[in-house]
Amino acid sequence: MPISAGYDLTQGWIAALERDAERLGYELQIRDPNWNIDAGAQALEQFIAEEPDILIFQNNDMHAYTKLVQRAMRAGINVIQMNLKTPVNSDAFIGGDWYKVGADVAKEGARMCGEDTSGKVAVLQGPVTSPPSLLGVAGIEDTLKDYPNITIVANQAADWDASKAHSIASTIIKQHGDLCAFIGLWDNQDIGAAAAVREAGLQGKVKVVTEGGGNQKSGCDNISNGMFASYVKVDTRDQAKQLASVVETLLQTNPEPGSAPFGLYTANTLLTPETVTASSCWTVEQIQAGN
Amino acid sequence: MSASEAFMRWRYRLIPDHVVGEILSKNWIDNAIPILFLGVAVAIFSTILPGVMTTGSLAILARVLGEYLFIAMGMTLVLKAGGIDLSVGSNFALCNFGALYLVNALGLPLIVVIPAVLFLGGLVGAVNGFLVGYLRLRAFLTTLVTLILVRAIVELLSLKYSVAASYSETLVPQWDFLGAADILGVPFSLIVAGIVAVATHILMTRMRFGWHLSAVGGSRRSAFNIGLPVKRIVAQTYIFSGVFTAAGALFYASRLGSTSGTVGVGLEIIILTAAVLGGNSLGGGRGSVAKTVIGTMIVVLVSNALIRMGLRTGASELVLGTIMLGAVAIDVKWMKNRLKVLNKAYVSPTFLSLPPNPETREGSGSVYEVNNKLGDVGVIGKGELDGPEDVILDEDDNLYCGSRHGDVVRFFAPDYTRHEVYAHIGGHPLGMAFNSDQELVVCVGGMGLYKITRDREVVKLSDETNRSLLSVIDDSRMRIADDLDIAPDGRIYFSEATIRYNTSEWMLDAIEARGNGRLICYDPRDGSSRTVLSNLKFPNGICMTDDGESFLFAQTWDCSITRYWYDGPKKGRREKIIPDLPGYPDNINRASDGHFWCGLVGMRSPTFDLALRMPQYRKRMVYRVAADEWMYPNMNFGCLIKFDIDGNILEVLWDREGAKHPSLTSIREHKGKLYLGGLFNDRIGVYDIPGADPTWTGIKHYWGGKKDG
Repeated sequence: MPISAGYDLTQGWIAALERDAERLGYELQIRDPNWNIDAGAQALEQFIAEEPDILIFQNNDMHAYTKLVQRAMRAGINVIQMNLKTPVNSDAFIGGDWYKVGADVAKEGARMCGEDTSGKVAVLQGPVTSPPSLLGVAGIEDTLKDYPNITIVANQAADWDASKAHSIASTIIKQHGDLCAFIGLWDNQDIGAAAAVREAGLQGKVKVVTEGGGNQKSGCDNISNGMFASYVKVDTRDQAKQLASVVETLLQTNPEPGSAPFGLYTANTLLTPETVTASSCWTVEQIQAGN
Repeated sequence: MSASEAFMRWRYRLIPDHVVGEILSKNWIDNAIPILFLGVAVAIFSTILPGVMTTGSLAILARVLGEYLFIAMGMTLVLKAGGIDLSVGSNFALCNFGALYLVNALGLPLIVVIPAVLFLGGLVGAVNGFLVGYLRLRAFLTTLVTLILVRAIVELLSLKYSVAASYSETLVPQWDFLGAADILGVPFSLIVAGIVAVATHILMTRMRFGWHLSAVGGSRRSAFNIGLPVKRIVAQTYIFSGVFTAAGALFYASRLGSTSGTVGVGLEIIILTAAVLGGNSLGGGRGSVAKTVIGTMIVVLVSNALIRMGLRTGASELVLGTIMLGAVAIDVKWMKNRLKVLNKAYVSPTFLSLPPNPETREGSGSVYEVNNKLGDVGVIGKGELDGPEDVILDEDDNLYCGSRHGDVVRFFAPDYTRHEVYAHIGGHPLGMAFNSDQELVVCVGGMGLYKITRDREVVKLSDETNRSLLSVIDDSRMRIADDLDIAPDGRIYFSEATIRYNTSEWMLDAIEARGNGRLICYDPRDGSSRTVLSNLKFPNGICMTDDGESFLFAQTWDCSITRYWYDGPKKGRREKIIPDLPGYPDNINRASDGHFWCGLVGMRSPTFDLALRMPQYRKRMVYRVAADEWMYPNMNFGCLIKFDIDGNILEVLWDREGAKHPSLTSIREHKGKLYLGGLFNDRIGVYDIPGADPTWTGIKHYWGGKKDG
């Protein structure tokens, strides 16, 4: 159960699982709550009632599904949490190290806003209680303490929504004409901020630093065309491969749920217009084909 | 009879067409479509999704159902009063956030949190209520604005406080209980919602506030004109909506503990879909808790099934939206056309083949030959009366008749020029008779059987009889109590012309020509009423015979007069003594020579007789032709017959021009004169009977001479 099956990260993971399901002969069922926490809770409860071997879900909110994860494990289901973790440990977590991501985007922001700039940055986070925001913003704030010339002039929640990011960014640009950079936490959202910057005719002046899964369209294309000045890649391709392997392993070992929890933290890679290459990003078709 | 007529007779005897219209006329028919929809949804989903109907699966639905029900009930109250509350989604998010902040960040006990959150929800409702109710802003736009405003407040708050609100350092078991507990397998939230639903149902149907809601929603202007505090009532519905939304949010907050920005987004659409799907009208005035419960069940079932079917992003919303669109379309079409369809579907003609129509032409030698004996009768109360269907005289020769204004009017003997309202009953008096105590017993159209005591006090004797087992419409209620007569032992036999139409629509019964009427016996000894004979074709006049064990009754559409034994060795037997009158018989009364008078309210015509044998033709007429162009029996003409107990016609009196006494419904012989009443007439006629006993009176014939004292 992803947060929504309708965007690049989840499509990447699903592609890998679908490929393996066919190759190894397990059954994959996907339910799409489409960002709705309540629908997600219903879908999870429904899954628990149906007792699959493994339950994979992406957490939308820090706490909403905590009790459900515990219930699923009590019911004997192995649980894998993807990318965004609840406070409860389950059999496996595969995803970004969000504090580190926050630290990395902050460093990139600081690098772009050196001595000869205003040093003003604006932070765009997702829903405040979602794990990447909670941990990422902590990483940003902690890191920027080491850069006294940088000031955070705004810190807003764009809720992973590009149009919301667009309107927030437009407002911030008007308020702070000398803004140096936007520090965002997700490419799908921050593309809205980048668009606002370009519409204001400030592309190149106001930098957009973001994080993303490295999808060709949302990531590399936008780095190449200058929308994003710097990009911390938490590679979905790697996550998809790891996820497929963990599923394969758990199906064979069938451990007592939660008896040996582990986390696989995705490595962060920096991409800038200078460093981006043809193989830096992935497409769903490539993952489907096994690359 | 030809084969096709025989077939038609059986087809109309075996297939009860009229039931369709009767079912459509039921109030619960509004709920039938949603229930059908629910049944279909359950059938479809349990086929394509195995396991939907398992207990585990139902428990999930039940938990969500409980939370949605609260909000939907609030919405029902708002809709019923003609408003709409779009702000429920945002209000829900605000209350959810408030509850979590109070519990997790401030660590307040539930006894504080629950009232505080309900108050918070009520506050948002009060803002809506003030704007919509008192400032009279448009509900749709106003609540749309509050939707946005409250959502913005939630976002501002959550940016600042949601980390603190999202979890508690210390566990609060009672708080978790709220959202997670089951009692006997039923979620706590659903139990509370059930209790609140019953209370809301009572509020809406049994209490003043609920009736006021219906009035305001049905017609705001009329409600204002009769003095209802419309503004306050409208404002209150929004407060209810707010508080109910807060209650739902409390359970939700406890269950999920999520302060995410997506909480409550789009909830107003789900709740509106639930309310409208259940049959609550968006236009106001029509709505109930039962409807809401059904609608909410459908929405929860469908949305859960859509999640389970694994439809990709957006598809579920698309399906729900389509369902809502369909529901609104049905709602609008149904409201607009229900009465139209009902009016047409309700009239359900059946097959009736009358015996050949006797000749009435002058010079034909028939007993019914037209004459002009009534052409020159005396007239009483011309222009002062309105619908003296029946007339009767007391032992002091005073004359009583009914009027459409709901009065019994008394004309004073001897010249009948002065009159007074003897008693006001409220419905049109149709049949009259004096009982042994000289009290006037009256059949009142639309009301039942009443008597007027000698002190002019109106007393209800009976307005209901036993309900028959298989009747769809409630036939215990009396619609057209028509004529009565009283047996020597005091039992009152009276006819009810039809159980399918009210007094004002009695002519529609002629188009049906089905046995819709019945005879009822009221027993004054124990005050009970029971149906004696049913399935009669507009039973009308009743008149006792002299044997003390039988009476005669007329069936208007059957053009017949029947003798029925209610007592004695022949008890229960029926014998049609005149099967083929040339017109439609109405009241029957005694003549001084031991025979009987009967008025014919209208005359048969070959065309209508033919139409009676062609029910499909009449059905088509009802469907395709405007009601005022329908073919009815001829009621412009009438005559008076005298017959003996064996059904021999002794005398026929006509008003050839039809000017003075068309459509005779009543005749009363008194001291050698005949007094004539008519349902549509504005006068009472007086006819001198040649050679009649000048001392004979009906009241003396029934109850003997004048009592002393």
